[in-house]
Amino acid sequence: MNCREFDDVVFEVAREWGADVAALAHAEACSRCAARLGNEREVAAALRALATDSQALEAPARVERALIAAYRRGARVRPARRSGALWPIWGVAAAMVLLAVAAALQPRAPGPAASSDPAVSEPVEIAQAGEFATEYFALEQGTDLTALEGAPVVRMKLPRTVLASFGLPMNPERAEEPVQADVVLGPDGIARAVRFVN
Amino acid sequence: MDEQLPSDEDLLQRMLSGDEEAFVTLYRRRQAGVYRFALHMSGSEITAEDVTQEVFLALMRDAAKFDARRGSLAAFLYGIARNHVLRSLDRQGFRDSQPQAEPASPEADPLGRLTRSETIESVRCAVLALPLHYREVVVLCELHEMDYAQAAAALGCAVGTVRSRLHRARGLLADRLRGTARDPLVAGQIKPAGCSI
Repeated sequence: MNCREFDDVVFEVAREWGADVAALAHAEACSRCAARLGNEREVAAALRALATDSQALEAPARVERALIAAYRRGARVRPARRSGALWPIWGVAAAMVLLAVAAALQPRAPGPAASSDPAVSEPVEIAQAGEFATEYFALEQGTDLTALEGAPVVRMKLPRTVLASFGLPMNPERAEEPVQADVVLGPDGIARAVRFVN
Repeated sequence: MDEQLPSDEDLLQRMLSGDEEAFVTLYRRRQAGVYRFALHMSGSEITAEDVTQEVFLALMRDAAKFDARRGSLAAFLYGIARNHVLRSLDRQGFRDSQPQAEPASPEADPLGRLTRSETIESVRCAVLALPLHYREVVVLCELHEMDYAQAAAALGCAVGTVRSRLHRARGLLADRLRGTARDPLVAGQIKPAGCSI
């Protein structure tokens, strides 16, 4: 083996991706290639340290929760279960009421609203093909979502920061971009529930 | 008795037929790799979280695009993640810059002197300072232990391209870790070939 051939395999040799006896023998006899192999081993060790250090990193649990909610809405399966833990803050609820009242002047279509009945909770009734929606979140504690069946639903854009109020992940780097939401209106035109659409 | 674990492809099929447990199993099996890939590529936990979510939403939406003859499901997911990372870096204006790179140490032999954590931080910065087309092969092959063929499937380019980029990237990394990075070799000044990024 000559130095040029050694250069072609030094990377694999440094990472011990197979024993290349000829390459190792060449490195023992050639100081230039021995130094090259030493350098490659240093880089390999440094990268291994970074890989090991990162090994335990994983996505936060909230990503899994959001995806499961999206799967339940998007898949042809059981309807989403209501979450009793994700209540919005008062400020968000107030903002929703104001937005919903404004939007109620031009409702898009009679909606299926939130329901535990799979026959009426299929997201495709409002969400367009390819869209995924979260489950519906009631805006007032104690709201019976099933009672909203058939209530009008309006599609609107809300500040992305609202997501955090519902325990959903939000990318602060996209905080300026609005997020789409389906808002269910009560008979009095007040917003009763909301879901977010991707 | 050893219980045979379902393959990714089996889980995907079950997921497509509405099996939530299969989806969760598949997610838990693959999410960490996707998250770490996005994190190493972007240097941002926020971006990594966002990309992970987008990858699995895309899987729900576009699972039919997966073709097992063209590569593993893991490679398919990394490919989606890569596209989202590039879009994210574009939005942030980081695509051809060095997001969190710090100046390399001028010491002659820094690796021997740094503590372990300093070494890791130096390597992390050196990886982030690589041009994207070199960074992604380093992340996949070195940090995720993919072989050339798997990385090529994820990146949509030839095995030879992966290998040559990895060799070049290693040289840049070695230079950076020794503080001898040459200006003409830094981000954006080496014309990529092969992969279309």
